[in-house]
Amino acid sequence: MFKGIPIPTYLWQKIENDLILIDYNDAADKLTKGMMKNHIGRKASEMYKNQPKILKELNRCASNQISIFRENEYGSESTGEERFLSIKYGFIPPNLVIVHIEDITEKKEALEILKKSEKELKALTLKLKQSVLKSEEEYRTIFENTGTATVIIEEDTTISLVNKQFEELSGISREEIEWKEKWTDFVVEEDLERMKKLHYNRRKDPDSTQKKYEFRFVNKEGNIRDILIVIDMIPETKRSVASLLDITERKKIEEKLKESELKSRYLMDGITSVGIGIDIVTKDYKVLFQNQVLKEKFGDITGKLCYENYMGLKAPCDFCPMIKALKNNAIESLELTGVDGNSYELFSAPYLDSDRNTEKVIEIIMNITKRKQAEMALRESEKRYREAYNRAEFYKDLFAHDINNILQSILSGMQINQLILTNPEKLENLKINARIIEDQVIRGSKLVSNVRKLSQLEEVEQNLNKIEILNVLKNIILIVKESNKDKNLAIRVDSIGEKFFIEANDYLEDVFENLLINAIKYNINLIINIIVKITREQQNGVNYVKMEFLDNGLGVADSMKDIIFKRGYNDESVLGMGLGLSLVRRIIETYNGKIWVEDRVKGDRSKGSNIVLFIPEVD
Amino acid sequence: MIKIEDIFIVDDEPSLQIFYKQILTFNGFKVAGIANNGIEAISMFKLFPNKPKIILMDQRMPEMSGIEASKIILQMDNRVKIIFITADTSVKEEALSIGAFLFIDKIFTIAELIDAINRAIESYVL
Repeated sequence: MFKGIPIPTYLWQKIENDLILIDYNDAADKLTKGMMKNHIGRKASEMYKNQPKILKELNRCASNQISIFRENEYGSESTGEERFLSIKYGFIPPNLVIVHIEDITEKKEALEILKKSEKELKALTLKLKQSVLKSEEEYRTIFENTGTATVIIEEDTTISLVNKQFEELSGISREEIEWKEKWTDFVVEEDLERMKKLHYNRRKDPDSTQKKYEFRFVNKEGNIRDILIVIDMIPETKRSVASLLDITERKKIEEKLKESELKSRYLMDGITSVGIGIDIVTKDYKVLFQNQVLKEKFGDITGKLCYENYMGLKAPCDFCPMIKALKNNAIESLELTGVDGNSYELFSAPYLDSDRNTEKVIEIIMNITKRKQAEMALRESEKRYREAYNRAEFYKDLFAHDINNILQSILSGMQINQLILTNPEKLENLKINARIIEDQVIRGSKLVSNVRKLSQLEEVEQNLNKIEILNVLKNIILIVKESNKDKNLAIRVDSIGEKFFIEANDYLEDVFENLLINAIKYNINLIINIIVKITREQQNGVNYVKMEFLDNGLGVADSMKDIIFKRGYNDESVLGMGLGLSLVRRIIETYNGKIWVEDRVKGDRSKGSNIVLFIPEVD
Repeated sequence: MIKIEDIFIVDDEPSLQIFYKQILTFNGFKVAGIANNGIEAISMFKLFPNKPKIILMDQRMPEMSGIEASKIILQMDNRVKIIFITADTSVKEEALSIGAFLFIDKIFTIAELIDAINRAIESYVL
């Protein structure tokens, strides 16, 4: 059994004052690598002369008959290695000492490593503690200086930690809040239930609980602030940390912005509903924005060139108001015709965007086609009114002149006749004067009739019918001859055909009558020759009936030829022509015809005149 | 003493030409001539061997108005007394400014015409 003990064991016997090695086991032999047989019988004083501690402990055990346990560093004679040994000395009566030696070198080394590790661990722990302390300090510093109100909330809704900003937000000191107040004390009633649910859900399932939302905060004074809260759980705890951002002012601005945007949208909708186009164009003519009106009209040309798509041009317009608007920093406007043929009024104003960049303009584009048409119609109407007014003034003036002459003739004739009655020598004039007076009355009547006709021509739109002119002319010739029986008239119609149709009305008779009377009036020849020549002529693709009234009368001076039928009604030079020819001119105008006067024999006024009429012929 | 044939009638209205002539002869005056418009008046005035001293001048006539004719005639003889007889009162101021002696509105009586002629004659005497 001694031999089989796994611990190296030696047996010593006390002899006299020394100890002799008398036996050892297999483990001891193995420890000394088979060298132990050489040491049997050796004295301890010899073997351990260099290991006084072991020698002393052996002797002490044997002398005092006690057991001793020691750990010693031991230099093995047999192997020469330095080892740590755990040695147990046991006394066996009467004089034996059994020594168990255990090599604890590796155990010792492990222990040393363990001690060293423990030391390092302690140092690390210390460092960690210091680090944690530092982190806590840093954390505290961060907590205090987040810039937003921050709180730590316990599971039961108690606020355990607040920063300075929260004190300011709430109006309550941290001493009064921390571990005393609950967050529910700072929330308006309407938001409370929602937030409580979030609070408890967050502790069950943090990841699926809303971490950022808005609520209304009530401070110490009872004032309500809009708050954006960002909240999350502190890992491995039931506590949450929340940052509260006061967004009251931002909300107000947002509300105003929303209101402004709403107004802008209403404005834009309103502008769109009345068909006003709006766009934004860069200084290099690119369209950045179009409202619906312009998109519907010109297609979506965002990013394309304005002049190409709006105007159908290959280069920017020389008159582009945008460049002027940017140059002058003022609103510029222009009327122009679009690629669709409509008229537009364009207002161009420098546009300051959020980048404070003014290199673009906002343009308001209004379709003014209808307005332009109305303006044109108004101008046309004004022109017609002005012409009608001028004609009315002209007729009034002519009438006043002619009626004055008529009345003057009647008055003078009557006064002379009264004088004649007292002077029988002049009786022959009495009949002549009476005839003149009668003529003047008839002339006056005709004048009134002409004025009435002129008035009708002005006031009533003329209905024209297809009329054969030769019959009308022949009838009028008969009437004129009948009323001028005292004169020797030779009136002839020289026509290339039998029927000539024109669009006319009953006033055609007045045209012929006035022209014939005029030819008779200004003729001092014994025989008054009048030829009415009727032919056809085409001018500018229009077929006309050409009528020429040729007479052998006094003729018309060259200076008067242009005046009589060509000048405007407000030209005083025309006033000498009399109301009859004015009526003729006006009637011919309503027939879309033309009238002028020439010498019957070109260049010789004394041979009489030729009044030429051109009236469009109809089939 | 002014000669009675010195009165010259300028008017385009044939009936008035006849009546002017009767009025003048009835009142002891003679007619130097009758012109139908301004141009004719100037031509005739140039040709008169004894220039008429008084002209009865209408304003509104074809070819040339009384004002235009009077300007030229007065350049030829600034002593001639031109009596404007017209319904066109708008030219009264202009007629007098160019040297017309009198301006008579139509409608006038024979007495008014004779009075005007007598005043013209008196202006020569004075």
